[in-house]
Amino acid sequence: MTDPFVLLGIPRKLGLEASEIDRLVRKASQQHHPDAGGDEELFKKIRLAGEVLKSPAKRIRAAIECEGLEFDKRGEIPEEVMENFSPVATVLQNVDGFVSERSKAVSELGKAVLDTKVPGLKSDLERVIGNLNELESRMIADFASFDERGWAKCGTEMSGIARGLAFMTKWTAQLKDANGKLFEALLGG
Amino acid sequence: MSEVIIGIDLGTTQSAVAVVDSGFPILLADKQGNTLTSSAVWYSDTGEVKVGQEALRRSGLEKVHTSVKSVMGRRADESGGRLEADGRIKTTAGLKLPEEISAEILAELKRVAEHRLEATVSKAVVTVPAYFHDRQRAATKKAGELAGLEVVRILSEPTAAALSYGLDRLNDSSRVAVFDLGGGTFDVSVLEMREGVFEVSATSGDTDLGGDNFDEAVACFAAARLERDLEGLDSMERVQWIAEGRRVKHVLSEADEATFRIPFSGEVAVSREIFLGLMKPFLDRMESCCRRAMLDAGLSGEELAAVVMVGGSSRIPLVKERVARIFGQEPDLSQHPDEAIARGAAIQAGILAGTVREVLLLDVTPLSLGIETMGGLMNVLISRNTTIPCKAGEMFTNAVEGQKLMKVSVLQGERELAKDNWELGSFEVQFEPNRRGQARVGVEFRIDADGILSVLVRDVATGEDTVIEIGSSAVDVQEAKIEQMVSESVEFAIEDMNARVFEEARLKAEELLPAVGIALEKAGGFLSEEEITVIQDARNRVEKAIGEGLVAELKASVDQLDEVTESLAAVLVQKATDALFSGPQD
Repeated sequence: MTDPFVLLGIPRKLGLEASEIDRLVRKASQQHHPDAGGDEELFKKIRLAGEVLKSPAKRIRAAIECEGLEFDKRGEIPEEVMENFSPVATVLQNVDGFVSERSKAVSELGKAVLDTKVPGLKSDLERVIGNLNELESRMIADFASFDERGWAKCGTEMSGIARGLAFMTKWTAQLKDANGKLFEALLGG
Repeated sequence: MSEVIIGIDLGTTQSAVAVVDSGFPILLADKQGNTLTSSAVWYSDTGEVKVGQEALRRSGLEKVHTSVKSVMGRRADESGGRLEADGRIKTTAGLKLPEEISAEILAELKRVAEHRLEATVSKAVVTVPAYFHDRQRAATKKAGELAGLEVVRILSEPTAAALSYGLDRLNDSSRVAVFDLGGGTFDVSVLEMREGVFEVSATSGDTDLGGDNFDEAVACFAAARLERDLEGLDSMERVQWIAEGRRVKHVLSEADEATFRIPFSGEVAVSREIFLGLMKPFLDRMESCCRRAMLDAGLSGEELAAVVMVGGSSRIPLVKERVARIFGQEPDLSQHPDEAIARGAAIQAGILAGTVREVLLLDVTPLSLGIETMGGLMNVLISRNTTIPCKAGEMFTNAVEGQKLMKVSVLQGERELAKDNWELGSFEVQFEPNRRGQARVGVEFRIDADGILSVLVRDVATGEDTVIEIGSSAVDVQEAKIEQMVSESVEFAIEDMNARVFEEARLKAEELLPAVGIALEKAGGFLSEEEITVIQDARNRVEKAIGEGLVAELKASVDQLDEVTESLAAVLVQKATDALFSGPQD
């Protein structure tokens, strides 16, 4: 993979402002889009680089690879991340259970009684998503310290965080999807 | 002067063609002065073709093909009986593909444009519902070719409407939602407009939801009241009933009550309240799509500068009311509901021709693209709402020593299990014979600016790329079972931590594991030693997977255990049945 920092002309730092990344990606997209006479392959690379830098999980992984450090994708996951696995799985299971029961309900009253579960499920979802977001913010806050200490010295620590963040990203997406499924169940999507 | 490119809105019920003139998009009218052409085609048995109003005039007397768009790029089994087994439609002039019939409409629009512009036209931008998948887009492009038009871009309809809306507002920096409810399809897109760049952030929709559904619902309701069955009517009668349903729908946009009337069959009064009841399921599905798009864009209704409504069905007051409620603001009705999409297509045509320079469009792929991976899961390579053109690479390796071939199924959709998604087709990857995990083949998936997929296989040794055909998805279960696929994901081995699939598989394992013990005790004697070993091995594999928390492995092993215990289950069932029907044991 081409170094995303170099491709977008961004200083090789982990502590980056999201709005600054957005601005640079937009500028480069405008310049290199094939419809504006740009090179299609370069455009695709720029969009990929933008996606990598915008996602904290992918950004730290890219930093590890740019530095030429070893990255083991099946290595240990930080304890504070693993603590969330069971709550995530439970709430997803509960939402799936509700959605399946709701789809089988045949009477209006039956549906209505089931629907009384929705506020609880929704607040469970929001709580778990909130916990993940909070944890992610804490982990991102440490990014600047890796910049200060130099990436080369923090390989192991950064790898663990990269793995943890990737799982959290996946879970958050699943939880948001579950939220969408709640809507669909109620609205018959 | 640069070459003219026309913009075409190929709609389910009506179509239009437009072109940019002095920086402003205008619709082109036919000889009768109409800017809208009905998407209807009639064939005579001598090969004569009529399109639009002229074709419609024959409906009720002869077979006229309408709403062909809704079967474009579809397989017979998902066409609701409208397609023959080979994917063709029966016409008076023989069997024809949907794209061949659509081509007649495009050819008519080409003639309209050539007549107005007094020049030959050979290139076009054609719009499709944002939610069209790869096959549907490819079929639309093919229709253009058949009509003698090079389709230089397939453009999403709501994005086209956004271009039309945004052309006068280039200095704004804002986010808007475009709500597009047409005759047969529904789309909703959220866009960000900034410095002349229109960037789609999320799109959602339903390719089988539109005005046609409402007409049919009204006709169905009336039929039930008159103790008739809409499905039982012959096709000519059906057309008449549905047309009357449409008329009633139109009247109800103005009046509080309308009368459904079929000569010699009877009359039914339809109030607005009844109409609301008929519309509710459709309005709910619409709302569900809107919420999904907002969720994907990470926005709430208040953060949108405008909710732009287009499409003929956005004239219905009930639809407007629901939209206002969903987004928490009054919708923007400044765009002509039937013309905005064609205008937007013309603007994109202008961008490509180089006559419109101040605007750039960044559209997205509406559906996630992935491949089937171990355990029947979908491994997403390009997620929905990724800006196009885009690409994703994947490295494949051999699962067993000496493996020469591997089958890769390509999927589009949002579900976690592969079987729940749309299968675009499959292709085979060839390996040089090598030790397990040593053979490597790189595959690149590309989605072009039309939203159409191509797949390249890269020989890692020579670096040479080969474009491969994705075969039609004739499902060969046997083959799919034998060929095991291993992919070394460029991304994380995320499937190993897929909480939902893990939980589902764990529940199944919890039911199966004790059952295996009990069943072996009761009926183990009926099985061969070999069979028992197979079952025990499968059981051990499941227990190991639970212990290690490996999701894909757990799912695969549970499925295996389920399969190898089939005969055991059969023995038990047989014993139970025997006990039930035999007399008291002696």
